[in-house]
Parts: sequence; C-alpha cells; structure tokens
Amino acid sequence: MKNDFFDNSIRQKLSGHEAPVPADAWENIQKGKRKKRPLLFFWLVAGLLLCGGTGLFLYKNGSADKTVMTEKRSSVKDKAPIVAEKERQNDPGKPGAKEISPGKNIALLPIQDNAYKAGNDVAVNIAGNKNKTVNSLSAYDDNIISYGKKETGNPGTVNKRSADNSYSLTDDDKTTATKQQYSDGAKLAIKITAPGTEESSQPFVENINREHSARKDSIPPVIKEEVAVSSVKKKEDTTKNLIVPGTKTSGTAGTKKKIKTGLEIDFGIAGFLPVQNQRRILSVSRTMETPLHKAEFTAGKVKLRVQPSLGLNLMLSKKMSSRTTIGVGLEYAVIKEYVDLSGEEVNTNRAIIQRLHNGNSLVNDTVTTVSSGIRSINAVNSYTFLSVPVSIRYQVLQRNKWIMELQAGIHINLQSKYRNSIGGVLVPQLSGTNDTERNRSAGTGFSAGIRLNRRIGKNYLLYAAPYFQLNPKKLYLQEMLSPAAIQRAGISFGISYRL
Amino acid sequence: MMSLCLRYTKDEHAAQDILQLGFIKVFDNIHQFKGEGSFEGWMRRVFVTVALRQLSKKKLHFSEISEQQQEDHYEFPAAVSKISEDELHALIRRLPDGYRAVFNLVVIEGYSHEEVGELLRITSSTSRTQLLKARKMLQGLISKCFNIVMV
Repeated sequence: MKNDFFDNSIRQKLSGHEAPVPADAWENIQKGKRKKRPLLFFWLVAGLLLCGGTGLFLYKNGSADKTVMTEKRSSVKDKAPIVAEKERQNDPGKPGAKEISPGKNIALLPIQDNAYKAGNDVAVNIAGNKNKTVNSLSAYDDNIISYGKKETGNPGTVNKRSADNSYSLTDDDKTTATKQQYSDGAKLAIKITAPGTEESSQPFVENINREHSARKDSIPPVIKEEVAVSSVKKKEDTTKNLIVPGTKTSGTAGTKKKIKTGLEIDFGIAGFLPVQNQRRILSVSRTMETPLHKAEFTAGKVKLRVQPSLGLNLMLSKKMSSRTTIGVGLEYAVIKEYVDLSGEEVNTNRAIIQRLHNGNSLVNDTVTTVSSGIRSINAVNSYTFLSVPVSIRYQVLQRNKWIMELQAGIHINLQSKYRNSIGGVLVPQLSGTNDTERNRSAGTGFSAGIRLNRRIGKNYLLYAAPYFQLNPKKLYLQEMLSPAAIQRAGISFGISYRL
Repeated sequence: MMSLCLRYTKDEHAAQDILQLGFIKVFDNIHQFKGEGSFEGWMRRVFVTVALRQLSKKKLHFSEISEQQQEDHYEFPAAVSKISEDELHALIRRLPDGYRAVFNLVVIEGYSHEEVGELLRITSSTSRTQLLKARKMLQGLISKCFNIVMV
C-alpha cells in the first residue's frame, strides 16, 4: 500500500511534466526521414543502371546487326547503281542535286548513321519553302525509324543511300487525309527502303498506315514489316535484306541468354573424426630375420589412436526439382593413425669365425649372441581413401539467404591404401578368434546429415554440412594391425558455384 | 514526448535520438492506428517501444536481489510531494538503466509485470525485483536530495 502511494505520487508528479524540446528537433526528425532515402536512392540508381545496362546491351546488339544490314545493302547497291545516282541527284546537299519544287518535295540533309541516336535533331529542308526540324529521331530496329515532329511536316519516304549513309526524305503529298493520320500522333513510323527500289507513293502511304495502326495494336515490328514490304515491293525483293537483320537481332539475343543448367559444382573440405570399433589387441609380434640376424619383437602394450582427419571432395550436383538435388563426385580422405608399441625384443646375432683346428687347419665356427631389451615403436600410419560419393539432398527450409537441406548418400570406395611406417610384418594377437580376412577396400559407406547453405552471391553459396558416415565393411589392409570398420563423424565446409 | 524519452535514458542526446526515431516510427506506422483509444496513448506506446529498443542495444543488466533485500525498502511516500517535477525527473534518470526501464514501465506507464517481462524479455519476477530495487534506490536518492536541500 505504501508502495502504491509512493508510485501514485510519482505518477501524478510526472504526469504533467514537460521537458524542453531542442529547437532543431523537428529539423532532425525531417533529416531522420531523409535517412531512409538512401535506400530509395539506391534502388533508383540501381534501376537506372539496370535500364542503362539493358539499353547498352540492346544498342550493341543493334549495332552488330546494323553492320550486317549495311553489307547486304551494299550488294543491293552494286546491282542498282543507276538508282543510286538518281538519289544523289535528289540530295540537295550534293552537287548536281535536282531542284525540288516548293510544296512538293522535302529532302532530308545528309546525316550519318550516328544520327540515329535518340535526341539528335535532323534538319529537314523543304526546298524553296522553309526549314523544318525533326527531333527525337530514333532507330529501334534496323528497318524502321521513328521521330517526333516539332512541326507538322509532310511525311515521306526515307531513302537510305548506301554510298554515303545519307538519307533523303521524299514528300509523298498524295492525299491530305493520309497525312492527317500521320500527324495525329507524336511519332511516325517511316519505312527505310533500300536503294534501287522504286515504289509508288500511294502503296507506301498505305504501308505506313498499316504500320502506324499495327503499332497501336502492339504487333511485333518484324511481322508488321513483312506485311508492309510484301505489299509494296514488287520489282525487287529486298524484304529479305530488311527482315533478316531484325530476325538476327532476336536470334542473337536468344543465344546470348544464359541457359540455366541447374548444375552446381561443390568444392568442400571435410574435417572428421574417425571412429574405430576395434577389437582389443592382446599383443603384436614382429619377426625380422636376415641370415645373420634375427629380431623378435613382442609388444605387450599396444596403443592405437586415430586422429581427426581431413578429406577433400568435389561434387557435381543437379537440381532435379525445386527441393531435390542429386550429386556425384570424388572424395579423397586421409586417416592418420598413431601407433605406440612397447615390448621386449630379442636379437639373435650370428657371427662366423675361423679357428685353428688341430694346429694346422682353419675351420669355420658359428658364434651366436643373444641379447634382449625393451623396444618402443612410435609411428604414424595413414590410410587414404578415394571414393565416389553419390548424394541426394532435400531442401526442408529456406529463410532469406539461408537454406537447410537434409542429405544422404553412398560412398563407393575406389581405392584404399595403407602406408605403414613400421618396418617388418606386424602380426596382432587379438582377443577372440583371429580374423583371416584381408579386405583391401573399404567397400561402400553410407552417409547422412544436414547441410546449411548461405547464399553469398548470385551464383555462389557457402555450405556447412555435419554428417555421419557409416562403413559396415571392416578394413583389414595389408599391414593393418586389426580389422576395423572406420566410421566418420564430421563436418564439411565448402563453396558451391551454380553453373 | 521529450519528457518520456528523457526518462528512459540518461543521455540527452540519446533522448533526442529516441524522440527522432519515435516520430519517424509514428509517421511510418500511422496507418496502423485504428482510432481505438487515444492517439497520445498509441504514440506513447510507440515511443516506449523505440526507447526500449534503443536501450536493448546497451544490453540491460537485470540483477536479482534476495528476498531479504526485497523486504528492506524505504517508506518514503510523503517526501515526493515536496520535490519538484524536474528534480524528480532528474532523480529517475539517475537510476541504472534496468531499474529505470522497469520503473518507468510499471509506475509511470502502467504496464503489468507480465507485460514488462515480455517487453524486456525477462521474467515477471525479475521485473518485480527490479521495481523494488528501483523504488528503493529512488527513495534513497530522494532522501539524499532532501538532506542536501534542507541543510
């Protein structure tokens, strides 16, 4: 109760308390709001970079196709030099250009290919009348260009001259109704006709209309072009020249697109603790004999310690479904074994001496010396295994960049080697019956574990996979002291790359 | 709100940070206010959450006290009325972070010990012991303050 009274007093006292707010508090709050903007800014910049990159990519692809197109047009030009000469006469920027009557024809001044870039202004000279400027000329494929007109001008045919990459715009001026259709939109599609083609104005106007309306219906440009060109070009079929580059553009983009193989390559290092369920060794004997020397060693104290070991593995995995992955690879593992043997060794040395027999002849005699002592042997032996692991992984959890998978596999042993640093043949005396089996291969092992993956990039992920590997088959290699099934408990760390 | 922020931290700059973050949080989540209860109450809860989050970065230390210590507290209710708001505010700010947080939440904001436990991720019994200790310390500070004042 007293506490309640105290608390109430405090509460009442502080209920009306107001602390002075710093003058710049609101400004700081506004700044605090701005602090969030770097994220927005980041996305904005990232978006712009992405758009820019995509644009650059598309532009480069377009440029490549354009080269192809120019070459083909050159071949057309060779076939029709007379038409090219006619076009040169129509070009007011060239000597010998034909005079264009006012209100009838307009001509586009010679421009270079780079004038295709969006935003470049192209001056249009309506001969004898006035200059008009066409802005925002852009090429979105090789065959069709579009531009926005600052003023309503007469639309016409743009003829590309392959000789100097210049263009002339010839006024069509056939029907007023058609022109109005052109000028209703901010952009107008113009068909580039290859040099050497002659076509009547009216069909071409119809072409443009089709393109214009088709564009509104969002029909792909190539299809539109096929319709337009096939209906116009009668004398010479340049359709192929015009269509092929466009087609190639899509083809090029298709081949450059990265194909998802679903394959991953893993490289890992596994640290593991081998566990041997070895039978008790009563003693180990070794006999080393030469003609004049024999050493018999019997170790009553035998200590075998298998050390934590390392393995390397390289796996190729394929995602079979959204959750299941199957992998196959190679694994190389080394297991080291420390051997301490201590016991008595009896050395028997034989020496042949010659002694005088009956005072006149020498005879050979054998002197045998037997000595015994305690010998200790400390050695490090190693097993190496080369196996083919085949594993299956199943994704059970995914949180942001973390993926948890269950994995199981079999390890088919290809090769097992034992490196014995102790000389001679060691014969163990085991508890129970002696095993006469000599397994030189570890056989097939079975593993199970979990795998934690952390994605660190678009194509890379790090993983840690604690596992247990069971080898049912006992190993009894050539010099191995006792048959033992070597089990492994360990963890594998590695990096995975998505191909 | 500045007063609330100051009560949860000793440092005035930290209080300003809490004020700033609190307002930003309010602006960002104002659509979550459904009109149930007062807006001020909702804002206070937001600010308390922000303040506790800031405090949690400092790893609040909550020490248990023995039963004997729990019984040993000052009985000092009347002196509170004689101390000014600012002085009381300053004394509360002199409490250790853990004590102050629990004291503010329970005594000033009116949270239950279970709610405090949930907010601070401590047990309700720890919250109770922290409150007892905070109360005891605050009473000690008030007592000391009075001695100084009256001398």
